Amino acid sequence: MRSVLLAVVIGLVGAAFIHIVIILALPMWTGKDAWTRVMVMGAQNRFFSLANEPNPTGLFNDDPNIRTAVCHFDITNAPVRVIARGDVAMWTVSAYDASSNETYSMNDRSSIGADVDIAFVTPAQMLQLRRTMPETLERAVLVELTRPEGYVALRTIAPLPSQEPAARAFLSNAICASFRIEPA
Amino acid sequence: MFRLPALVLLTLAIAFGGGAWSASWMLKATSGFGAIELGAWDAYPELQTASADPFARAHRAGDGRILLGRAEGLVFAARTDGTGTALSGRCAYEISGTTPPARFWTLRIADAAGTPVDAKPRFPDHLNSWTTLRRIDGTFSIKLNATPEPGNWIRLDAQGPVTFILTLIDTPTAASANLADLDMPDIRLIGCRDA
Repeated sequence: MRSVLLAVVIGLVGAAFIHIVIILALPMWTGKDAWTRVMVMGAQNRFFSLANEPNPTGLFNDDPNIRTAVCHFDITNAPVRVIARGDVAMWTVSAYDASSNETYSMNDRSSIGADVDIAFVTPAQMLQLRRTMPETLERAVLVELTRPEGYVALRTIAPLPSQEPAARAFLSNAICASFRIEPA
Repeated sequence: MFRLPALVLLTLAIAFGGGAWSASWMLKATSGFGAIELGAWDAYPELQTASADPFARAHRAGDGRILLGRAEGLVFAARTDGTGTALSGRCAYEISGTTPPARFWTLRIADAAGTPVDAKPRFPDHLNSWTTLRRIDGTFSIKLNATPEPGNWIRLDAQGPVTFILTLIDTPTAASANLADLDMPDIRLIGCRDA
């Protein structure tokens, strides 16, 4: 009898352990987390505008007034710069790492000027840039990322149907490209 | 003779069965901690960050949505009306009052799983801060009903439970020191059609 009780107690301890392992490991194995879905959308270093209707990619604009474009990047070898401009009422941008944790976010009120101009760099690239800041990057927001892989989501609003074309143009003209740091 | 293998089997069955069952039960029962609740509305300002709790992360990975960043905005969801009764797609509601400060907000309807409820073409299925008519004091009143209403109207005609989703764009709400001071719109049940 005592050994049965012991088996049950060990089983319960094991159940608690497996419970914790499942909860912690689940984000890596769902296969439909945001990072996986963004990766499936296409090549890196370019923005993909999300469709307005549910579709097989799993990503779509679930808010009819907010339009989103995503771009995934890997800045191990070269930093990535995000540039967008257009005639939109407002824009917001967020960067996430591969676990979909927010690493940076801003909106048009917190930017210099009205345009999106953000450079994502690794700590090592940041040091290089500090030594010789290229003139073209002077107005860009420099964001240091500890994990080189991630994605950026650029959003704009279209409160009225007539603003839809401008929002679409803003997102489809957005650039998410890697650039070279010229050695000093 | 089979005593030891039977005991080992029992231990393993309890461990794996109990662990898997309790994990799935927990995920169904809770959508994570760290919610801020204002009346019928709740929001998860930390959901997209690294400080989200493990349950919220598991949900986040399962939903696979690109969430709003801290500087982008905050999404509030209401599953009940002001008195605590679950929202139904067969009922009519009035949402009135003001929203917390935000540069832009949208109000839309989703089903229990968070999927947007499609309205028939030409029917309004959402409103935003630009298209909502207001009273002189800045408050608004939005009717959600299957039949058209004068003033602000969103068509609500769905089977089963629904969720009202209020998205605030560029809002200081998440960082607000005193949440009690924030005014969320009130949800009032007008009436239900026979189910």
